Amino acid sequence: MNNSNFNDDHDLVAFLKQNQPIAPPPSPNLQAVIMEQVINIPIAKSSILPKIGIKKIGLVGAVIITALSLIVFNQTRSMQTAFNEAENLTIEKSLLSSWQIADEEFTSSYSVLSNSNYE
Amino acid sequence: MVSVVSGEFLLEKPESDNYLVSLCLQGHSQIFNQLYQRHQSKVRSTLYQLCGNDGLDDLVQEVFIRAWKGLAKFKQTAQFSTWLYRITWNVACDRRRNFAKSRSRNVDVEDLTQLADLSISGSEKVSELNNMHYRDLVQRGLTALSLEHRAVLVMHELEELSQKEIAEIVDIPIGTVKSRLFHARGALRKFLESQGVEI
Repeated sequence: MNNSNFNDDHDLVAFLKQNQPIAPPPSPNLQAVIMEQVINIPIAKSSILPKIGIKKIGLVGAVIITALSLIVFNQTRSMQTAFNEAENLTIEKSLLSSWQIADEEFTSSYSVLSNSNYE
Repeated sequence: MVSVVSGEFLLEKPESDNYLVSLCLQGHSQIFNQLYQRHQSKVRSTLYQLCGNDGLDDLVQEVFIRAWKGLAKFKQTAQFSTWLYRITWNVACDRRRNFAKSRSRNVDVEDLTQLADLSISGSEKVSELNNMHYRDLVQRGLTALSLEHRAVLVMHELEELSQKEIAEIVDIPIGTVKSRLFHARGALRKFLESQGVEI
């Protein structure tokens, strides 16, 4: 055994290339067989384009959903504000009226009391 | 440029692989013939080094049919040959799974039969016999390597692919390619030396 035979990789690679096992030739009809199959198999549609389509649809859908949500949210809020204002007015009126009643009662009772004190 | 003569496509000058692929995708399936003719010898040679002679035609067929079926998935920015090598590698891996037990190659018998047919002189016969012996040793040395190491060695040293391309094909980091290449060379060197090879 002579270790100096493969002192570097160049010798080894050169030996490999020189003695590379050569593949036997294909059978004469191999190309025809492959092409026959190729013609009979429909080429698959690109999976990239539908993915892009799905992504676009998803994006547009998300935008629409977000916009609709915002609209509904705003509508609800404005309605709630309107309801609140109406309620506030009612409460205010009710308070005013109750204060008025209380004030009248107080005034009348006060006057009665004060009159009785002076009598 | 492409012209159509009686239903067959004739390419006036060699077009790029990617252009041919785009024609195939437009429905011109006959163009695939050009791609086959361009790459079949490389695919065949690689498969032979990786898997041997058993069912070699079937493996080549499998590679090209897979390529055809997946043509739409091929990214035009990539190199078609690298993509095809990747399919070749996958077919070789599938083959290994199917035939877990390594089979002995019948190259010796075939080669010796071919040799017997040669009508050459005695000295030439000895020289040819030596060549056969060395080819057999290289083949046995390659077979002794694991498929992973063999693939890297075959692609780099025999098919002359770059380490970057191999990393892409086998789907491993470039550092792993270098490491496998180093170990594969070392193992093959040891094997050849053990067989008393003198260059």
